[in-house]
Amino acid sequence: MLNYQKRNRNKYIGFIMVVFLLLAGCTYPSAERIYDQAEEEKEPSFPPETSAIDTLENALATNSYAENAQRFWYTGWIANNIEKRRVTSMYSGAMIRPHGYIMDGRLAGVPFRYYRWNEHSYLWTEKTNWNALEKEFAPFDPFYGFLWWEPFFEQAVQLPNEKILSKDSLVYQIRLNGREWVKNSPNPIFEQIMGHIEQQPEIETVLEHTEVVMTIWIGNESFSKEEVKKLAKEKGADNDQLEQWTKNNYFIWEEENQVYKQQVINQYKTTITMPIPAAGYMEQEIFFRFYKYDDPGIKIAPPEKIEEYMKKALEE
Amino acid sequence: MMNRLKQSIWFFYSIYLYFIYHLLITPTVLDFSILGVIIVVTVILLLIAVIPKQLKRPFLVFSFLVLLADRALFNAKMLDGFVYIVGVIVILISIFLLGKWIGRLSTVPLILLLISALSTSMLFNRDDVKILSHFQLLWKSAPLYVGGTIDYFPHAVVDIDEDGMDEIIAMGNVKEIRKLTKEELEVEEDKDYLLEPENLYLYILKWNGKTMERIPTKEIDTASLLLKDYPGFPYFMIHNNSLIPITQRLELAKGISQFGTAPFHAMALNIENLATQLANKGVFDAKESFDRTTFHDVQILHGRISGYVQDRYFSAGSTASKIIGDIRLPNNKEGIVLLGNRLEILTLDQNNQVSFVYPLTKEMIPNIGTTEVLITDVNGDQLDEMILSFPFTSLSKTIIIKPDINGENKILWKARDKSFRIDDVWLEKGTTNNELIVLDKSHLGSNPIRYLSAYVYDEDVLQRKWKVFKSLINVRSGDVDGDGEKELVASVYQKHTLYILKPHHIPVYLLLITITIVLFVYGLIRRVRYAKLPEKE
Repeated sequence: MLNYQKRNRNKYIGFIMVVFLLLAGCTYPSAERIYDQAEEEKEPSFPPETSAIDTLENALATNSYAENAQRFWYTGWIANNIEKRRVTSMYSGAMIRPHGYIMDGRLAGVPFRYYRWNEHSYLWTEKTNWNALEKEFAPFDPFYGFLWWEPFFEQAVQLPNEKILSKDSLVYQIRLNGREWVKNSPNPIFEQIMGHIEQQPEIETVLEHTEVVMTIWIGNESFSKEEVKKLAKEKGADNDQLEQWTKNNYFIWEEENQVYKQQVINQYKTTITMPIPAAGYMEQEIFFRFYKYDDPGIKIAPPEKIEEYMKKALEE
Repeated sequence: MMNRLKQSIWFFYSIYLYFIYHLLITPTVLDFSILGVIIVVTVILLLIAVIPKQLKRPFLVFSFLVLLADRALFNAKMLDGFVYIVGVIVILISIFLLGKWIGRLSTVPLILLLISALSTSMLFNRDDVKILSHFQLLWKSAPLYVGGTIDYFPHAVVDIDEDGMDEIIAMGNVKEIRKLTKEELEVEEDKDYLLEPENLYLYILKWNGKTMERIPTKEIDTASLLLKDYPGFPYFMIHNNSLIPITQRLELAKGISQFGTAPFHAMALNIENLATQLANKGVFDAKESFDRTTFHDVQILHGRISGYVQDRYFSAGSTASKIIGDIRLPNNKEGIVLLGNRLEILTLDQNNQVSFVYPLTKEMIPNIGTTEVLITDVNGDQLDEMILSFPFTSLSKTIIIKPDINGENKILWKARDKSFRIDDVWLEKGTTNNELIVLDKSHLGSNPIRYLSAYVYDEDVLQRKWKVFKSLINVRSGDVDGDGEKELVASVYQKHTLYILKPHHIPVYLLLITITIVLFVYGLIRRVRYAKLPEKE
């Protein structure tokens, strides 16, 4: 056969092969046909080495009063799955105590912003821009509510330490059923829903079968004496003010390890697994993380700036 | 005359190119990724090789312009009214001029190109044309829900009036919103930052011979038809035909900013939402009749499941919250599949003793409480298997489970990929095999879009039978037009449009490939016949 005829024949064959490749079906082999091992079993848990409630109370005091814990960033969400529906609301921003905070939120897919500075507060959405709200005189307390878990801290277990954003943290966990949680936690929110429970006996059944797991990560970072001195100096506290400064910032001296510890709350997660009529069980996660305490980069604009934005929007 | 005939080939080529691009080339690249690109490029190069030299340039430019015109005319559809007409004219003129200057094409082929491009643009929606490989679009709805709060609503395909034709049950508000007076519309637009209740209506659609029309819901027991769905839970609930917010952004923002209280707020919303819904419903879940077994009037209430097998009554404690359906088990046993924090099957023995068998716990399958289950005979052994699908964010992937004769749940097949989802089951064309209707990704790794496909179970693997490169969700099969053959009713995520896909049984791939081979062979023959003899080598 002449060469050009050979070349053409090869082209022809190549073409047919490609066609058959296209016509061949796809098979999807199975993944390994085994069930999962439960992850929780891998995590060793043990009774807390020091009293869990004492640690939490100290952390709350630190968060509330330590001078260098008054500003921080936060990010969090409430996410739930019912069958294949996933509904999430998100909240993130920064706080400067005792004055105010900014919150970038998202609900039903629509972003919004909430701003508070002293008694001024505003709400923003894309459609409505900034709107001034009624003046608020009550001080805001971001760490309010943690003590509502107090009745359950006796049954807390401690999990192995974890690093949250590379900061070593103590991990405590409480597991309860929903009924225990609602009935034994003293708080105004649950008081309000008691009415629903009384009127709707099925809710008791729901609570009975609901599982709640609360996990809290409390900072366990070590600071040497020199490091604390350095931090104090940066804040303008010299040697004779050092002791007072250390106290004001809730640095605790650990004799055995010869280090200071400052316990702030790093992360807080609650999972709720709850039966939903005719829709299996819902898995809900309420998660918050607090980080970069005392970050000098946290800047919140004064209310005058918001007023300016509002004026500009009206002019447009 | 011959000249006219030869010139008309340009028109047919243009149509052929349109279809092979949308139905074969793009899918091949999506399906086979890099390999697909190689295949397509190889075929194109082979075809170019057989074109006579003097035709190469006009041919290539023509082909490019066909695809360019298709895309441009589609993009122009985003313009309105007069601007749209101007846009179309600009496109047509530009294509013509490009063809003349760069392709050196003569006028007639270019005119034919423009005619074919306009025709395909008007006859087919470029977004939907990919279904044509296996289906015709029997009907497409307008977006049924206007709002944006909820990303999708489920729909069901069920024969309500028992006339042999299935109706479609969906949720929406488009017709009602259109009826609003001008003042009402202005109020709607001028809302402040508060979340407002939205009215939601049941849309029952029935085939009338030509199209789907909405039938009035007054005489029908709508309460039982309402699909058990929880859109926007816990912030929203469906109550008295409305989607009602039970909280506001401000409330949430202020409450959540006291971080310790956040889970308490969330729980309170959960309870408030459920309490209102339970007040309407009474029971946790109930099902009157079942298809495969003799169970009937089963309900879950106060932590107990009760019901009947024929005339024998049973009752037992259970943490289940959902009655999935009935199931045929080995040894002629019958069962009810229940979902709670675990999946299990309730059976009754001769002494009316209730047993819970074949448990699937959350240790075995994480997030089992959020699964959706299809009970069907996957492998043709006259016994039922369970197909479990999970939300995309779950740790678990789609799995096919067989309750076997030893009382154990045997895994028949497990997906490797989170996006693989089995939505429904119907009979494979011309066989008695059950064909699984699936949403799965293409092989193009970076493309997360799921397309519609079908697989048949065969030993350890799923054999793919077909794939249509249109992204759809909530695919349900049913005989909507009453012709004895089932159609697929599906929706588009966040667009709330319903599609009815009717299989057309035309071997589209075969046709397109045959035409391609014919073109190739024709070109080859021409080259061979008219080629000069090469020098000896």
